[in-house]
Parts: sequence; structure tokens; C-alpha cells
Amino acid sequence: MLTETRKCWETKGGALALAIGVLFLGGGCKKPEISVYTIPKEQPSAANASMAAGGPAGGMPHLHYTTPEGWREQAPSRMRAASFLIPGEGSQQAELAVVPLPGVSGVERDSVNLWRKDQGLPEYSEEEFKSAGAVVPVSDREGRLFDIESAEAKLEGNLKSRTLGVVALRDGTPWFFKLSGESGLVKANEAKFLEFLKKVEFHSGSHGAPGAAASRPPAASAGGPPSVWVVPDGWKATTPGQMVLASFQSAGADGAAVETTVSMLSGDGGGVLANVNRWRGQLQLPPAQPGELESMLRRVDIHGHTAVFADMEGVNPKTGKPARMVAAIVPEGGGTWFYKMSGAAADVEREQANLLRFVESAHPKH
Amino acid sequence: MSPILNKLLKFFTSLRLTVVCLAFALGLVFIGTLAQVKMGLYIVQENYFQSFFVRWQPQNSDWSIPIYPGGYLLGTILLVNLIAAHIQRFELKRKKIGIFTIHAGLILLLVGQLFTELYQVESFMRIPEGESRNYSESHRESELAVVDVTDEKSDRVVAIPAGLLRTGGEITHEALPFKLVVKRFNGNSLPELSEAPEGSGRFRKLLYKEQPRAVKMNDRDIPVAEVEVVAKDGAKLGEFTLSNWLSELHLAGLVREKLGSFLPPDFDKAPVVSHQGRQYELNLRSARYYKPHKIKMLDFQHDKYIGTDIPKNFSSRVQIIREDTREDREVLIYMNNPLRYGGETYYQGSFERGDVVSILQVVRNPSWLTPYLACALVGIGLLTQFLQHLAGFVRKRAA
Repeated sequence: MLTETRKCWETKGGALALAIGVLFLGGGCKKPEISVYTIPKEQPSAANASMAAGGPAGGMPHLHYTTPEGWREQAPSRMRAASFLIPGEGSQQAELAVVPLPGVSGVERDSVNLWRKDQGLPEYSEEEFKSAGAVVPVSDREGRLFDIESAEAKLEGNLKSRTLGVVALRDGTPWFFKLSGESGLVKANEAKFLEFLKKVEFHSGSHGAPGAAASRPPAASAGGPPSVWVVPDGWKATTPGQMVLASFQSAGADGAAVETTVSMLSGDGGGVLANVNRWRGQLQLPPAQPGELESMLRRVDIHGHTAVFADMEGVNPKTGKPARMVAAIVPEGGGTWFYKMSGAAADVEREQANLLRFVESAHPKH
Repeated sequence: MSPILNKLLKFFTSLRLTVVCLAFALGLVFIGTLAQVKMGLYIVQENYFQSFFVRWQPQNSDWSIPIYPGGYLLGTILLVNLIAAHIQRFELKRKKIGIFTIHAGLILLLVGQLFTELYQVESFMRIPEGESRNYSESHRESELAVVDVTDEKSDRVVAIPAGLLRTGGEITHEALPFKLVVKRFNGNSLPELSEAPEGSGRFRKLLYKEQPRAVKMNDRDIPVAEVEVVAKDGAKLGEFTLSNWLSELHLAGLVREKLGSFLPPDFDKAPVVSHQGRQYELNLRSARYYKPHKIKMLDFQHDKYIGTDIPKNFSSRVQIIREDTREDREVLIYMNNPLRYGGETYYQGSFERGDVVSILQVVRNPSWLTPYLACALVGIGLLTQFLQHLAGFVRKRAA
């Protein structure tokens, strides 16, 4: 028969065991919680706004500049080449953001119209835009300054807002300098802004800054390639990057590789001209005009759809060596498929036939 | 003792319960392994092992029913069973020491795992050479950060875990001067362009298409949220679409590369809400863990075997800088030689092409010692049992 001491042990022990069990159960029910903390402001990097991965291969273009007095340089964020905060009275502040758009062309009017729309003003027509703005020096070239004040008060305290925007073209890349904030504060800093523009130095590519696309963090999932295809012999599947459905490598001469990627965008994916010019930008070629586009393309019937092939030769900005790109644009299944092969000219020439076979074998899953 | 307590104790101390739980655990591992093929490791971990029940949800429905005990439930019952049986059969005898030591090791292992589950935090620090970081980021968790950027020297952050956005509804907090109304949240998304241009130009709107959750090991979910900011007096301060696609530099770079021809130059600008004289920036980003120190990447080395592309060694020479303790020293982190600092361990995790960006894996696990102690206890217990049996055998033979 159990002694009283032993019974007491068992009771306490049982209670302890159950308490630990409740702890386990409670631990499994952890809920996310909101946290609040204060951190020091991020400092701009010594590399003067070098940008991380993204943009065409070879790194993003960037600026060397002198920060005007009273302006607070911000840590590089998003896709800005430079970013400043300009404090004003009370809690008012203005912001200067500098954004290059390599590989993009013909967006100057659209961008200025967007600035005007933000201030509640009507858009410029093509004719109006040609004569709008004032010419201002930007580094050793010129840009166009647009002074856009809101028609009505838009800010707290019944104040108007203002944008001083400058668009400058440099080596085929449009640069956008947008100083915006409370109208009086922006106007008061106009002279400093113009002085800043005179002294900037443009640099394309990056020196000493991080290189091409990240191998980490992990890629976004697109739910698996929504297509079936026959992969040609000699093509090895590699891990696709973000927004790419599939990618392959095949061996080229001298250890170089030929890369082929597959991606898909809904609708027309932006149109043939814009995409061809994006690729031309990646090979450091000037953008094609609408009139000359047709002569650059070859049309092939694939599964009853008209696929467009573009063949371009330029320079790989990463290596500085000649490179060739053959890309196919295939409208199918409610979207537009892009098959892009790039590498050394001779290697791409050899693999072209494989690319065509690959594109012909592709069938979107339904 | 009351009959009910008696019955409970009898149930929880029974060996039959142990066998049944172990059988269920085997089954759970088996079905979890099969499910992983389609659902991926992380979703299976969440639904099968980090839950009390495995649930079945009919297609196109909101309800689900439990169909199998999950890892938490089995672990809890096993632990209670082990402790209860241990105490019930406890006899302070020398020949039982081995058994009790083994059981103590197993209990420590289970409890240690619970603490690891509750308190372990894994994150990464991506640091280009020459730059420093005072925070690490989560691989898989996101947060909506409302950052008061008004002050010159510091920012005040209210970080709302994405888990709270999933259910929609309103989010309020004493540190927020307004409320956030979550109109839409998708755990995984892919950006795309609107069909038609906005206005007369060619710029299009950036939309986000919902995607199934990532299942591959190297994939991750990239969420999107549509949020309305409403002041306490009911005034609407704006409606914004937020996504990691815009807040994380390399993702924004990809969007720019693929779709930039059709997006305005500042498409990725973080929205700022002005309210009561202060500016609040909204960001949906990877969850951040700030440190009291910063780590500066002095030099990243990627050594290969001579004449080959086979990696030999990765190492990061870093500088630890901490103002409150006036600490400033250099450390070399390389494979199998992590830095243990501030309760965290910094491993050489990965790097980016170009060999100028190092990625450190940061692990905080307060109970990192428990598996070692548990294994030591089990080993000592087994050795004790073995030696006791051996001694007894030798004595009998001698006699």
C-alpha cells in the first residue's frame, strides 16, 4: 500500500507534469505582437549612394555630388541615385529624389505630366511639351526645368505644394531630379538646387559597388512554370531569378555560357517597341524609333500565333565584350511570353536553331 | 486522492499512452514527408508539426476539421507522460540512477525544443563591403513598418507583423496616431502592369496578382497589402498599396528591369502620411531585428582551389562597433567559425555574385546548449546502466 508521502509525491508530480503540459500547449499558441522602438537615422554610405542589385547588368548609373548646406543626405533607398531631405519651418520639409532610368526612353513627357497631375494641373500635349520648361545646366550638359505649383492648397496648414523637376539625358539614360514639398520652401531652395545640378558628375555602371543580381534571398515563387516545353540537348536548367519562369544555360566557347530565360507578362506586356528598346539598352545600343522597328524584326508563325523575333548585337556592359541577344515575343494564352537568349555572338548563332525549337515546343498549361 | 485525479494519473502514466503517441508520431513524420512534395517544407512544418492538429479543409470553404494529432499535441502528451511516469515510479535506488538520468536527458531535450520553438529567431544580414548594418532581416516573415521620420536624428518604428494583416480589419495601437484598415492582404504576389495606360501617357499602374504560397526551399513569399490610413477623428489620410516588391532594393530593381519602361521614375517611393505635424513612412518589408551594435563589412573573401572554380573558403572580416560599451574590434567569420556576440551567432551564410556582398546568417537561440546537455545526460545514463549491468554480470561470474 502506498505511503502518505508517496501519495503526496504523486499528486505534486502529477500537478507538475500537467503544468508543464499546459506550458507546452500555451507555448504553441504564440500570437504575433506589434513592437515599437526607436532607431538612429540610417547614414548614407561612403560609396555615395551606390545601389545594390537590380537594373541592367553592370550596376546602376550613379552620381558624385556635393551636398548643399542645410540639406540632409538620406541613406540610399529604393532605386534612387541620391536622396535628400530639406528641413523647413516647423514640421515642413522638402525632398529631392534623383532617379535614373537606364534602358528606358521616351518617358520624359509622361513623367512631367505625372508631376503635373500630382499637383492638380492638366497634362501637356506633345506640342505643348516641346516648348515647356526652361533650359538649365546639369553637369556639363543641359536639362529642362519644370516649375509646377499646385493650383490649390494641398498640404496641412492650407499650404500649396510645389515640384521643381529637371529632366536630363545622359548617354541615352534619362535622369529625373525632383525637388518637391511646401511651395515656399521649395522655391527658397531653388538656387541651391540649380547649383547642385551644375556640380553633379554622372557615372554609368558602378565602380566597387555590388554587382549583379542576388543569389539570396530566395526567389519569389510564380507557382511553377505554367508551360510545358522540350528542353534542347545541352541546355541545363538553372535557378530562375525573380519574375522569371525558367532559365537555362548552355556551354559556349572559351568557358562563357549562353543564357536563355523565359518570362510571361499579362496582356501585351508593354508592347514590342518598348521591350525591344529595353533589351537594346541592356546591350548599350541606342533605342529604336517606331519607324525603324519593323526592319529589325522577323515574324514566325507559332501555334497559330505570330511570334516576333528580335536579333541584336551590342556590348555586354559587365564584360565589355561584344554580345548578341535573340529574343522572341509570343502572344499566347491571354498573355505575352518572352524567350530571351544572350551570350557571345558566335555562341548565340550556334544555339539559335535550338531557341526556335524550344519556343515552338512550348505550350502553356491550361 | 480523488478518483478522477487517480484516473488521470493512471492515464498519463501508462506505457500504452507512450506507445500510442510514438505510433502517431511515426505516422505524422510519414504523412508530413509525403505532403512536403507538394506543399513544401515550411508549409508542412507549420501545418503538421507546429500545430496541435493536422486539419483538412474542403476546397472553396472557410472551415476545416482536425483529422490527425499534430506535433505540438503529441509532444505535449509525450512530455507529460514521461514526467508523470517518471515521478510515479521514482525510487531512490542506486540501480535506477542510469534510467533516471536517461529520462532526465529526454525531458531536457523535449523542453529545450519547446524553448527553441518559442524563442529562436533566424535572420540574415546582407552587408556590402565598406557598409555597416545594425539590423538583420527575416527570410520568411514580413512586417508593415510605420516609421515616424520627422526627427533629424532618429526614427520611431511601429512594426506590425504580417500575421496581423492576414485577417484584414482594423489595426490600432497606442503608439499609432491613426488606425490602419487592411482592405486586402495576399501572402504571395507577383507584380504586373495594368492593361491600359493611366492617362494619355504610356505609364501603367502596377498591380499585384495573388500567387500560391511558395513551396520550394529556395523560394519565398512576397506579400502585398492594401491599407487605408484613417485618423482618430475619422478623417481619411490615404489609401496605399504596399509590397516588399517595392521596399526591398533587389526586388524593386527586378521590377524596374522588367517593367520599368512603363512605370514612372518614382514608382517605388514609400508613401508618406502627414498627420499632426509629423511624417509617417509606410513600408511592407522583411521583418527586421535591430541590434544595439553595428557590424561593418571590411572585406569579404571567396577563395577557390587553384586552377578551379571549386570554392575553398568564404570569410568575412568585420568590425563590431558598439557605442554604449565603446567596443570597436575586428573579427574574422568563416565557415565553421561563427561569431558569437550579444546572445546571437553570426555564420558566414552566403554571398552575392561579384564577391563584394557578404550575407551573414544570424541565429538567436537561448536554449542552444540544451541538446548538448541532453545528449550528455542520455550518454551518461546509458553508460551508467551499462556499467551497472556489467558489474553485476562480472560479480555473478566471479561467484
